[in-house]
Amino acid sequence: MKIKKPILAFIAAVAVAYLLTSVLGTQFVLADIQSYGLPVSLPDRLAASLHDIHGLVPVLLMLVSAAYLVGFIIAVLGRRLLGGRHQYWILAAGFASLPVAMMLMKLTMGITPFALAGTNSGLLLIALCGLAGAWVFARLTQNRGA
Amino acid sequence: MKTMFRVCLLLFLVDAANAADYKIETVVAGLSYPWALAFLPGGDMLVTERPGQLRRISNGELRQQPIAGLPEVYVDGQGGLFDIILDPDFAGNQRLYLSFATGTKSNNATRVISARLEQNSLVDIQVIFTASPDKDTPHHFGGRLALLPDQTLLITVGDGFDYRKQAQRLDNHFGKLIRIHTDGTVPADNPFTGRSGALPEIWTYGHRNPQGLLVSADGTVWLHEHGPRGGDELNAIEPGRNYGWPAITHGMDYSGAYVSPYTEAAGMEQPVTYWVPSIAPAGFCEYRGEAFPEWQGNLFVAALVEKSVRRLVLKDGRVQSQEILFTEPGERIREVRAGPDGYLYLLTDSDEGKILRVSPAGKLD
Repeated sequence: MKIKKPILAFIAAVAVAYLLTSVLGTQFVLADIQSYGLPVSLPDRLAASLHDIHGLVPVLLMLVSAAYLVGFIIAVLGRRLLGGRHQYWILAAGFASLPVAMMLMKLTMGITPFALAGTNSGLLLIALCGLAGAWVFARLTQNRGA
Repeated sequence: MKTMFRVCLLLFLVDAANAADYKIETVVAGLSYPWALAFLPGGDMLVTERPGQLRRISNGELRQQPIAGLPEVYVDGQGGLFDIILDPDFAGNQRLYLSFATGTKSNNATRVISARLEQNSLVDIQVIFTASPDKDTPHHFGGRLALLPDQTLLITVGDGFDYRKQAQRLDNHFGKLIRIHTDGTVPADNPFTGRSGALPEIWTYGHRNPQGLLVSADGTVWLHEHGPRGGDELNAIEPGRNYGWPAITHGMDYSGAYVSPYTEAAGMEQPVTYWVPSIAPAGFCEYRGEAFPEWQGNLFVAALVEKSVRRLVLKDGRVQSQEILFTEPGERIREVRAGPDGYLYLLTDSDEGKILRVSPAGKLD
């Protein structure tokens, strides 16, 4: 099945990017809470991380999936038009797609629904999470595109 | 089983005793997102429309010409013209206070002015407060006003949505309750006066988007604020206190993640009551009229999402019971005010907004 491999690779990429973004987002929120003078225990940290992995499914998982879908399609088309290595296009798309999606939400809604995206450093971390997921996708689809 | 039956019967009887027969009539229609209402001494009303107009209602008729002289209002998202209250000596000095959003998409803030109403115009306008620093979101302005018995002015300021962390800091106005004199100067007895790094006009902090504020007949200052997904709060205000946002909350972020996993912490106040899921409390009043004796001393909270008004029965500073009222119009209710005639007045939140009057069912006007 020729189509099966990229679909599985896409699911794996989304899962990696989603988990990383969710866990990082939770740690940032907990760091803020510590800055208000509240102690955050390790069990609380783990419980909050698990809670958010579950809670963010309807918004963040959908957002990551949509952003990657658009980003990877642009990457494939870009490579066909301009040439270059499949991996580089996918990595660039992965790095850019999540922060761009977050910024588009800010532009259209006027607010940042995902707290981590509220700062430039947070956006950079989100971009790195996107890059990690894209690396997984690039690795798993290497034979097809290389 | 018998005990349960007795309890149910007792609850039914208590409810029946508290229930009031009322009718809801439209006083005025054709308003654009009305936000606040003030009753003038001669029987006229002033109503703010969020898109930036102040309208007058005379003899039950909405005057077509808006009140002139209003400063430029920033209208976007939740921003626009907000609250209006009259000076206690309005009959003598015609002075009133208005809150609104000012600025631009990238630099906006909550502002309060003092002005005199002369005929159909605002004159002698003075800016007495502008929240600082500016923000770049069109949400969470707060904007409610109330006067304390000592004639100082309380102003709610929201956290600007993206600036929620600032609600825990004292060097800015995000997520704060502000107290100033009506000329804009800062009272010397404010709780953070003289503290290094703190703005002296701050009265309390740790709020999200407070859109309800009142000083009750017994002097209690009540404030309600919108939570995110759940966690709307009613708070009894004490100067200098921290009301917790976003360190503690019963609400969840819109994304589905925690704002905080904690609902209580040392040094942070607990709400008197909270609502999960959100009802979106948008304004409230204390009832002290005579038309509904059974509602004496109750708080009435306008609820946008629930499309209702919550009647809160208080006892010893606690909410003893709640009743969901005025769902008949099926409209988002922005504000509820008690009129000098003893009736309740509701503002519906839409571009075809109305002022509705709630009066006893048997009453003939």
